[in-house]
Amino acid sequence: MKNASGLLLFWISISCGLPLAAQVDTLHLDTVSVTARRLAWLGTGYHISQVDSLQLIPSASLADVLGDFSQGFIKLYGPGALATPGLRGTAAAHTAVIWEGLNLQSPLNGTVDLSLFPASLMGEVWVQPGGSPALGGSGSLGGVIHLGAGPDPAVPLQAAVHLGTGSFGFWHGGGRLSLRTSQITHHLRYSYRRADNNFAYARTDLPGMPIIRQAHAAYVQQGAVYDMRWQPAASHAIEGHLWLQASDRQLPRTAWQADAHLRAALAWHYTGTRLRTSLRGGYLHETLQYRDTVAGIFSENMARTWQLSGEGTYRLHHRHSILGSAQGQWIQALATGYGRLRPEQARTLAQVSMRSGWQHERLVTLLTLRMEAITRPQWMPSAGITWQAHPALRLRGYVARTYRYPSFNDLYWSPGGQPDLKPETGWTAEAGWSYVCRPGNTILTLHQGVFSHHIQNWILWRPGTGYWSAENVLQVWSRGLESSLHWQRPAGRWVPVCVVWHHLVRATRTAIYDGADATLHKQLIYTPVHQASVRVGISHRGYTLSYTQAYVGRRYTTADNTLFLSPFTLGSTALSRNFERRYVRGSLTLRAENLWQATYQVVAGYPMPRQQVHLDLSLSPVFAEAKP
Amino acid sequence: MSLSMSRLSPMKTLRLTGLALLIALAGCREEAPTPQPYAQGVFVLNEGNFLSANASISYYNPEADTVALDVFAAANNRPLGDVLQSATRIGDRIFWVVNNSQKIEVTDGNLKSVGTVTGLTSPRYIAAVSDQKAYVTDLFSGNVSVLNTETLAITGTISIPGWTERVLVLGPDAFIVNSGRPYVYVVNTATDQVTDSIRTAAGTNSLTQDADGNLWVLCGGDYVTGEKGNLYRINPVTRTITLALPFSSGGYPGQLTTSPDKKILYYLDGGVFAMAISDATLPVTPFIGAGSASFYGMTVHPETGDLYVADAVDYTQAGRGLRYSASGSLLATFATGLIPNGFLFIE
Repeated sequence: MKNASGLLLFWISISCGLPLAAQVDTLHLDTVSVTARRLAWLGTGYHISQVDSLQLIPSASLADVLGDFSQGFIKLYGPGALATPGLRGTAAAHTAVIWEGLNLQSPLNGTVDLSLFPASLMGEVWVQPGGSPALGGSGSLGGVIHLGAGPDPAVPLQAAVHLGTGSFGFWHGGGRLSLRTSQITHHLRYSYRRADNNFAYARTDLPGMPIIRQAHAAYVQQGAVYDMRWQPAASHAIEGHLWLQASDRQLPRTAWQADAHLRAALAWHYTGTRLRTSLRGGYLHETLQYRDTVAGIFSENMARTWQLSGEGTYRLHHRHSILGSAQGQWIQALATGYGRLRPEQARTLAQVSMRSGWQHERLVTLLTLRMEAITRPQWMPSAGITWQAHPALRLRGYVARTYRYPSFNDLYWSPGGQPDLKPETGWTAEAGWSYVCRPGNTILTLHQGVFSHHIQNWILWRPGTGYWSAENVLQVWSRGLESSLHWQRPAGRWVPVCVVWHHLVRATRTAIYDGADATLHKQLIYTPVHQASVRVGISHRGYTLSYTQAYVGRRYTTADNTLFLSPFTLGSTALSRNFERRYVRGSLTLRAENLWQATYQVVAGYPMPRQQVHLDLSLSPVFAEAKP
Repeated sequence: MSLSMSRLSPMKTLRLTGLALLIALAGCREEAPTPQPYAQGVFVLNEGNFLSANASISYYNPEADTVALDVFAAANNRPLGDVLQSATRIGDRIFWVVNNSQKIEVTDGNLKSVGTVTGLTSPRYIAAVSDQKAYVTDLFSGNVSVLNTETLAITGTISIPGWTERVLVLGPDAFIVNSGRPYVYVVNTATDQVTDSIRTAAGTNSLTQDADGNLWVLCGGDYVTGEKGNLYRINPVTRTITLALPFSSGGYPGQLTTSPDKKILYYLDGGVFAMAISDATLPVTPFIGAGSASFYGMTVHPETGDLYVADAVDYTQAGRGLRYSASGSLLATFATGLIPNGFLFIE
């Protein structure tokens, strides 16, 4: 065990220098944060992976981090531009992002823009592919990204300063400060990022294909997160969280977009012998301004969400625990596209889950029934199982009914919004295994899972007479196989590591809406069938060198699969040096991305930069109490 | 990492050209058409998705009932660009207006590029007003550009605020409809000056001339305000409205055109509607129903009178071309590219 801990530390030190990569690990119950504890309880049967905190490269956005994370395809319109998740072939509005119990999907369009999430503001990030009403609720048909404050600091005072620079006018500055007294813990994080984004690309539609520079694509964003936890008694804790975020982006040609977010959450937790309860209140406020002076477009959009929830877990028996929760939500929106309408929506939900552990917790089952209602209640049952069949082999599986309420744009956009739209619903099932063995110094982890998602009443905007309208028309079946391998074998002071993963996703339409529709059984757009990555790295005496080669397969850009973007492969490398002096410790990382100058597009019509170089420096003062 | 063209070495230029070719291949389709001479048939304008740079031209031979897709790329080894809005033959050249690429591609009859007009803001339509002069309308610039069709140089601009759309040249005057403002503007083609304007209604989008010399102007309405469409008959000499026909539904009618003898008006309003120029009321039932199709463009063959109708299906997959006889019978259906919006007949 001691040996294993030592290896884990080695692994983390190696990971620190790896470029935009992340450790994949099945969730273990000994993780300490509130978010992790809840995921462990309700995530039975799922493969939930954590992005290691050290791998949240401070200068990156969550889009950058997850883009290389082995859990899905990020639809990226360019560096710093709109980035939406697409887990397992589902749409941007099908991945929920949960922060401190609040769903951050915009009530307006149902999506999240991962470019607006600076990685350095996150205490912890968990990725849970697969629809889960118990953990994500409405909007989690494809999966859930969980964000949290992370565990309390180990020492009374921690601080760090992050500086970064890179190609195309990129600059980053940020910092972190953590204070811990006997009862209160404070975390404060700040991030500032900007870039000119004036990279060169070929204008292929002009004679001679001249090389020009991307213009009018600069961005600046900054944000701050404050987390507070007050524990006046062993059984009681009060948490407060505040997140302010602002972004101003140029959109190529002549448009600007400004986003601003205020997110706040307050929670009280009680932990008894058998009973554990939480009361939470939350508030989300988002604004989006879009203006195009040439086109004469100016639109203002705002949404506010208030949320109150209560949750209790009671241990009935040494095998059985039950969880009950209730939540009320009030959403209000204002958008230029809604005309004079000022829509409001009240949502209520209730959930009950039964968790049972058998064979000394080697076999765990979870049964959940969730009800969410706006007008008519949606009933969402789910069941999950995890079985530690052998000390090295874990089997798991789940089946769940999933759903998504239409966004405000789907309901109220004028013209075309349809107030009587039905929720998208579906069934999702998954089975998988994980094998972890440690022969000698070697650690080998294998993971494999198969999944199947059926989604009905998928909302599409279709052309009508004069304008487009939202309709419940699409039926989709997404299924696939996900595999990964992690290997490391320390030899003296040398620690070589290899990480390989591959995703196979076949996501097709299972019904057509008229005779001219040629999309039956065709792959959904922007869903690569194959996606894979190989990463090798070696660490020695504080130096880490790594290389990653990633592959993204053909992505169709038309629903009948007649047009597509060619597959691309990207190479990237990083060299980092961790150091410690008397009063300071830190790391210096040099990263080169798109090493082989690949020309590619993630989204048709949006060029991506060729070779880029980034330099990141992190410094942490070593306080007397913090010294090991 | 700085890459300005003036500092590129020949070797680097060669490397970048290779990369550029790779980029050109990054957006692909399954079938690669072969370049060919086009003696007869019809070019189909496939607009493509806005911002996706997947506009294309396809070729349909009605005699052989064959289709070749993406023929511009085949002839020029590069993609056409973003949003092919319209095309006009001027002399022996064809001017392809590629709206969101802010350019006009100029080709010969076999689609070989002979030049590119750049520096435009958001071009929509082009119309020849004399031997060497054409007007280019624009969505955003607030100007109509004056183009020398020989040198392909922009020689001037005519200030017309709003969204200028289609142009009809009648004698010394060009009548230019404005979709952003409820007017038809009259421009003297000799002086390039606006000489008059005729107030119409919201969403003025297309115009044509009938056998009696009258001007017909179609206004689609405004689906934001709920204003419905209107069809006007205008005396082009006195510039007065002689007949106003308001639409009772809010379907945003457009694509007004005529039969070869100019005695029948056609327009799209979901389906294809037809009316005689002598009618005093709008037709109630469509001449050709759309059914579940999305009729997005229509062009009448100038000799046979056949109606070529573009079905964009759902705008996310390849469309269809539908060829109807002048009596409304379906003669043929053929494949097109993404979002077909019009046809150009090969003379």
